[in-house]
Amino acid sequence: MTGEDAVSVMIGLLERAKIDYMLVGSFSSNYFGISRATRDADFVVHASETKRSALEAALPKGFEIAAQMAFEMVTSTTKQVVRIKAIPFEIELFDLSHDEFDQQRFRRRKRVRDGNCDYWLATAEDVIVQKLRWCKNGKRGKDYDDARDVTAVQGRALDFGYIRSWADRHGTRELFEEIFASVESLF
Amino acid sequence: MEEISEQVENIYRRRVLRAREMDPMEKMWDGPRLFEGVVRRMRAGISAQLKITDERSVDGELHRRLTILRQLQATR
Repeated sequence: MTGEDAVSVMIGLLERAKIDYMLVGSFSSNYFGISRATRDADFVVHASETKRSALEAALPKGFEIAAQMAFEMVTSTTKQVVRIKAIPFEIELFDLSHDEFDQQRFRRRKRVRDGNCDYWLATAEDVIVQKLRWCKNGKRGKDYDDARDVTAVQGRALDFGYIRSWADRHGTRELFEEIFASVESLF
Repeated sequence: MEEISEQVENIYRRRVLRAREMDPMEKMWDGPRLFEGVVRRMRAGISAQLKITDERSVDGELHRRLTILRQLQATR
């Protein structure tokens, strides 16, 4: 079992259970930006209790759900951690929160194709907006790097008006302009 | 001689250009693949440093170190 296998299994389970989800975090920033090593996969899920229980029951051997739900401070979201016993890799299932941005990015998620499979992924703009938010509140350097990398790689394909409008609301506009100025020459 | 900051900028420019040419899906899956490489090197380092070879002990120490790392990143 590898991290890649574990994430593929989880996506398969979510798709089969018809649970609304999207891949966020480092998987989405790697997709739109520059790859970096990651030891967890973050999903945002929107599921009824029944569907969630069915998902838990369908988890294969070796997938272990942490006994307690965890609370993510930056966006006030609850999450469930699934540990993969054979490897040091975790899958985090964040509940879709009532946060306005969380709702919006979930509505804007896009379907991407990988061979014969399709996945739901956050958009590049929403990856940047969320990374800026994490960067401001969580003060994690990797979030700044991820936001910069996605901005640099996607360049003019991005909807900057959308990013700036959310950055204004989240108080991250200054941070974004700093990133924008540092990579604008690469567009 | 090229200034250090200019070299850093050029290296970053090359990384961005390379990323633009790559298949996005490959980049996405690179995340866990790169981490597997990190884990392999950490295991080898633990074995060499602590002079232990049995997998269970190496795994235990690996888990301990990754937990510390996770806690540090969560509080940083």
